[in-house]
Amino acid sequence: MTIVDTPPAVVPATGWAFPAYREDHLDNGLRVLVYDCPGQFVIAASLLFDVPLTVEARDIEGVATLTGRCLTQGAGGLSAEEFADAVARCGADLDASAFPDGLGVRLSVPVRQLATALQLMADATVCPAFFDDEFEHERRLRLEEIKQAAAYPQHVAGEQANAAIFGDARAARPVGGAASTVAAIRRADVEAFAATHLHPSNATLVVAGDFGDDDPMVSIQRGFGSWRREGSVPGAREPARPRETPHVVLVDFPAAPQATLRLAGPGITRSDGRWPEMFVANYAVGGNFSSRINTVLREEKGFTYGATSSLDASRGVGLVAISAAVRSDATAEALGDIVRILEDSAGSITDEETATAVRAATQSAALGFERADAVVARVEMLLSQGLPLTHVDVNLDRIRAVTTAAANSAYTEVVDPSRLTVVVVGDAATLEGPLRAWGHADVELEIPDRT
Amino acid sequence: MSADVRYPLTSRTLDNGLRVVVSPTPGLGVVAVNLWYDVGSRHEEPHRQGFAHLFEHLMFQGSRHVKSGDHFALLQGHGGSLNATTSFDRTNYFEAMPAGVLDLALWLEADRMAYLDDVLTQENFSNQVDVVAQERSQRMDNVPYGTVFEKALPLIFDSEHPYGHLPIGNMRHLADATLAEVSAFHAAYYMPSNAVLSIVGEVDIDDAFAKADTYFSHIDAGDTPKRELPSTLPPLAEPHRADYTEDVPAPAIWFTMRLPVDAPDSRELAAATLGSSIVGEGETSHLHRRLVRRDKTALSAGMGVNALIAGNSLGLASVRAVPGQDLDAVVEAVADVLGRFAADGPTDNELALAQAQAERDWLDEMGTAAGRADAISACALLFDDPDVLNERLSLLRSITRDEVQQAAQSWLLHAVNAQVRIHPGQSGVQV
Repeated sequence: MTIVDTPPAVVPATGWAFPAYREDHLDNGLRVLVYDCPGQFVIAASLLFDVPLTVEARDIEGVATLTGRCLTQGAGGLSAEEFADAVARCGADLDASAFPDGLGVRLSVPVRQLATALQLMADATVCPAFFDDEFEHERRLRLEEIKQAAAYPQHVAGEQANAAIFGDARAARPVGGAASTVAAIRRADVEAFAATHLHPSNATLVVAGDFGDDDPMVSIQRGFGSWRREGSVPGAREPARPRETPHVVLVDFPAAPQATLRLAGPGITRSDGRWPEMFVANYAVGGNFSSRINTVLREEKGFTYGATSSLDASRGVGLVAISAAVRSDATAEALGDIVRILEDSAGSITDEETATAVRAATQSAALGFERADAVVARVEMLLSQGLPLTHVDVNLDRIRAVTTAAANSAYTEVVDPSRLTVVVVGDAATLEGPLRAWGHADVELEIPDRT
Repeated sequence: MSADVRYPLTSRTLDNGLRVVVSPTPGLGVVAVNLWYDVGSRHEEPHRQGFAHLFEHLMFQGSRHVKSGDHFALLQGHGGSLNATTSFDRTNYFEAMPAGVLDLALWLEADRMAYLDDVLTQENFSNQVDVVAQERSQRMDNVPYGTVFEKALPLIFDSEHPYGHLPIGNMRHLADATLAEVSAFHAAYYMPSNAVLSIVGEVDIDDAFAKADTYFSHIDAGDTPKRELPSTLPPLAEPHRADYTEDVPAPAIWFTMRLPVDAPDSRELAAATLGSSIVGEGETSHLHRRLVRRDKTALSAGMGVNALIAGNSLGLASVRAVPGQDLDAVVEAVADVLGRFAADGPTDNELALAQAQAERDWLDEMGTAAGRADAISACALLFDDPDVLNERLSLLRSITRDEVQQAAQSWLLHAVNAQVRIHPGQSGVQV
């Protein structure tokens, strides 16, 4: 018996392309995109509304999120409990939520129950009941959720970073609103939000899965065909520019065994021509398990279970963000390591790193889109960020063409470690001293009052 | 139609005892490799709680022909996604990748099955002890309510029981562990006859078996550990309760249950699982409707099942109460919900609804080659019969109202006997 002592050769995959779609429009203006995904017997659907969070009035922020919650709490002549029963009986999951670029009503259902489930999805969208008591109940739960979330360090790190980075822009404040603004929302506000923003000419319905011999357009026409509603269409969006001035913020979680770190600064959006280059550079620096940052912080020093950097992008807003939860007494050293690695990475991405990132991205594409819900989620992202539906394939082609020089130049242009805002959530009593001594970018340490 | 979904399964056993299951599902060019080893936290020595999971980390630190870190770097670098997890009953190692990377994946898995300890250093070992400690902090110690499960297990299983402690284990035990113990653990549990290998997706059956043979058949069979399983414990008859005060935003309570053991034809566990879904899964569940909607004493409430093979499975229910809420009243309501369910059983509609939800969960899991490979490995390792997978839906559909009611009376009703209560306040244990 021979033992293979060197890695076997790999045969690269070729010819993968994002699933093709059929496009249709109902008479009422609703755009429909159908993706066939053979072997996927759970159908995914998303009805995506083009309504950015910036349309929310400042004093009732969170109204989009609360509207989403209320859509499924009774509709089409059914009470909230009857409606929930009807959804569950077809083995479906149906919910709606808002995010910075839109509001999505999302369905997941075994294919043989698709027609029934689509009708329920249509009912929730077209004729939600917005019962008084259900609205009050959902609002109360939202308020409690906000309080509960404040106890989770990762959540707090994200919110504090957004607040520090985006100043007065909507992106600085929580997607679902703050306690004070949610408390101010009335049922009439939810009704008005739905009436103004949830209408067929402002929506795209994306469905994906293995439909067999059935044409999903029949059920879609039956559910959504009679939907008549006019409303506003959002105008040009104001991009939220990250602030140039960095902040260092320490949020006190007394006696926390770890410090939860988030460092973030200006990045780019997916429509920026440098996205493919930045993808490659970020992959090498912090975008995979074997990245520079994770190798040092986890595999060499054992400070953390994992450290990553990512390109966080929504429409018009891009961030470069580094996240890790590290052993509390190693906080300052870990932060120093991260910033040093980011600095050292300028101009130092290697040919091997570029080749690896390109291979990883292009070869993993099929794997990322096996399931119908993954296909729908990506299409939703493309639509909400104003990108063409060909973007997945085009982006992969562009990644294939990235050179080391281009990756280095994009990284050096975009990432400025001295402008990163740093948020640390942990035990202030022991962390304040080391953080002051660290002295990032000569900025004052802020320690907000948590109460 | 999804009702008829079945996946093709072909099994062979290599001469050294490695069970190989191949399931070709061509289409996307994706293949998944999945190994289950018959070792989990239930096999650990009492003074080495967490060792199986630490060992799993060390499986990524290189082997005779693979440098430390290369397992991840090579597979991710060719578009693969991979990881490993450790549970009570088993440890699994898995990767999914383009079909042309299959040989590399099998070679990497075989090398660490055969020769892990050739290259392990004290430095790598100590480093992973540190990483695991941070994993524990991130998942449990630095998360509100994060250690509740650990506190709840001893109420229903004594410390000697296979499920008396969590896979993440005790960090002091791990700090005391040595490199020599790693070699001993590898020799005791990591051999072909104590594992199953699934190859799923864009693959030809004969080709897959030939590749398994090429990369694994040189590995020594070793002495297969004997599977010893304790007998099933009855539901907890007497109330057990533990109270803690912690820095949490709301009072909360967890209930744990001994449940019927997992087995290929366990109608009793299937009935308990559907019952648990009716009582505690989603907005239609009894707990949600009573506590969150009617009484408005809770922010959330739920119940779930962890299917296990050593004597009993495990059930867990939890209620996050409204801040300021008295937990005695919550317990009374939970007892009332369970009592009524045991007395009345489910309606036809409730059972149909739970079965429909279970079907979607199953189909969702089957939606990726990786998901199918994991489920196939589970059935092959735990029950020595991968075909159990294809019978799962029909088993769930065949469960009757009477069976669910019986499971509720025999098992679910006793959930209130094991309670962990967490009260908001300054951290510190109280009795």
